[in-house]
Amino acid sequence: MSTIVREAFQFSLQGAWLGDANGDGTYGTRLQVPSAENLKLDVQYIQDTAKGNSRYTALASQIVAVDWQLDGVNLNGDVIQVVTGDSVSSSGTGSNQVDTQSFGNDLMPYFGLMAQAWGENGDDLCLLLPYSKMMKGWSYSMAFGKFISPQFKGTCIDEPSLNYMLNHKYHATKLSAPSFPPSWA
Amino acid sequence: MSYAGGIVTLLAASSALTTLLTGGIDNYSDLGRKGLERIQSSAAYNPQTGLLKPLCVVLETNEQSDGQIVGTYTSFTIPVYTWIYDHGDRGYDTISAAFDLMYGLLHLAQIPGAVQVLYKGVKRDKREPQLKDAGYYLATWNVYGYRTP
Repeated sequence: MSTIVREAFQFSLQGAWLGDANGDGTYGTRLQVPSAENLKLDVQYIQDTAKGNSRYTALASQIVAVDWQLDGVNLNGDVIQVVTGDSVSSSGTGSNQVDTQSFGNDLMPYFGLMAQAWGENGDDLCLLLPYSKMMKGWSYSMAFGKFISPQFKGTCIDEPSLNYMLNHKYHATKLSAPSFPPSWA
Repeated sequence: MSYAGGIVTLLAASSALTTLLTGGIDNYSDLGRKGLERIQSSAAYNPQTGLLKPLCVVLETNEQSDGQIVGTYTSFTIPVYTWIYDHGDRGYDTISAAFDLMYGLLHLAQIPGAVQVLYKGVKRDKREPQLKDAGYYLATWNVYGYRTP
């Protein structure tokens, strides 16, 4: 079946991808998050209520940002480089290779974030947070008998040239992996 | 709708797996009341030596509503068990290789009527007394789907 069945439910976080956002509707190299476990979105609103005549007389509500949280990604230097802007430098080769990544008093960069869920009919839902920044920090712990599973929290706003902060794409035939704009389709 | 049947079809389509599991890949519900035995499931046994061949049996168990989608549509989880057997004196190399292939085929797979199969775990290096101490692995999977009206 190839027709999108909109009442079909989407299942599981099948994959998440990151890429540097250039601010002009284009992005750096797409990087798949090695082990994305959860992605939570929380659309933020501003709102006001007009009151009079012993009742609410008008309601106003407007989307201003999307807060997100991404869990379970592994402490992967390439992923951390995208979300923090702090590069990985390599020295040596083979068994002598050393990758170094340092974190100082740095400003965080903008990046794009995509995720995919699958429907029952070979379809998928891909979502794009086009202009995100890690605003609420990242955390991880090293615990006895546990994988290191960091958590990143941030906010997404309107991308300057795309003019949206969250985009859903439903594909009748699921993609192997979504692509950032301008190939986001 | 049989999810075990869909899993058997998916596994049987892999020539690499069927090359290893020469005794076949069977749906438990297709076996007779005594399960694997020489008359009903003769393909599972070497006709010259009478020894058990490497094979897999797939059992679909209870469909359970899991409360993720409730209402007209109802989500469910179905545990599926796959036993990978080999004759008890052959060790576990073939079983282990077959399991690794099955993991690649089944984990994250979509089968007809369900959204996805996810790997749950495996018990290794077991013996089945009722099959003359045949060695086996027991791999478990969850099938996720939902019922529509």
